[in-house]
Amino acid sequence: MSIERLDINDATGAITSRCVAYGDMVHIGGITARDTNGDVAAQMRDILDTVDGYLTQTGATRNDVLTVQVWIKDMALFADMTAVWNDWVDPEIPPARACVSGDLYRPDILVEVTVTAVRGKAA
Amino acid sequence: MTAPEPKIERYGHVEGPGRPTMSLGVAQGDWISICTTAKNRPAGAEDQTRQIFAAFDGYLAQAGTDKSKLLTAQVWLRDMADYDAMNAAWNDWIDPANPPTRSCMRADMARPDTLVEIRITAVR
Repeated sequence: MSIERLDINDATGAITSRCVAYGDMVHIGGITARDTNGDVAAQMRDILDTVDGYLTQTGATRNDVLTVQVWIKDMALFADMTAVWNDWVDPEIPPARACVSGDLYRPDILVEVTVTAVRGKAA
Repeated sequence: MTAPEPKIERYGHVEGPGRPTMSLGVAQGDWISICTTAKNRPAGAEDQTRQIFAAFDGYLAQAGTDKSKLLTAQVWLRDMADYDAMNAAWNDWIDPANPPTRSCMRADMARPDTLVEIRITAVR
């Protein structure tokens, strides 16, 4: 089985892939907003749009997401970030999600997301 | 007859006073996960990162794979001021044609002189 790697670049200062798929597993990692001028809600919408794009490219959908790890710069941003999340998920089949706060690698980045999904399994 | 379940392979057994009892790496089927910190902790962040990668190379080899098969990486830094130093070691080590996804966060570590901790997943 080959490993698919999408968007290999060093935009963060480190050479990484943004999405790696192997077999039926899809890993989307280190996703931050493309435009970090916005507030946390705008950044989260931007991130989830990016995630949707990688899911589509790898043959998955948001209903195939297993786990999501959210890091926010400040827990005071939790409610605004979560409101965007709640708009994004299917309320009948939401993924597992964890959220912790901590400094991210650039001060203008308010939220970062890592996703695992399994493709081809959603009803 | 049903085939036996594949066994979990464990690498880098750790135990001792004040230490967690754990494996640094586990592998099952074609999947492996390894997480570690540097042994020589007076070293700076770049050197600690290189020590971590040397350990990864060893465990990946034991598991029958190598860094070109990495899927994901999670980096924790004690101080985000070490981001560039950690990245210098990262960019030297990583296979530029086959990098994993990565996220990097600031976090306090169990020991005050541990500057970097990294977890990777890979396949073989």
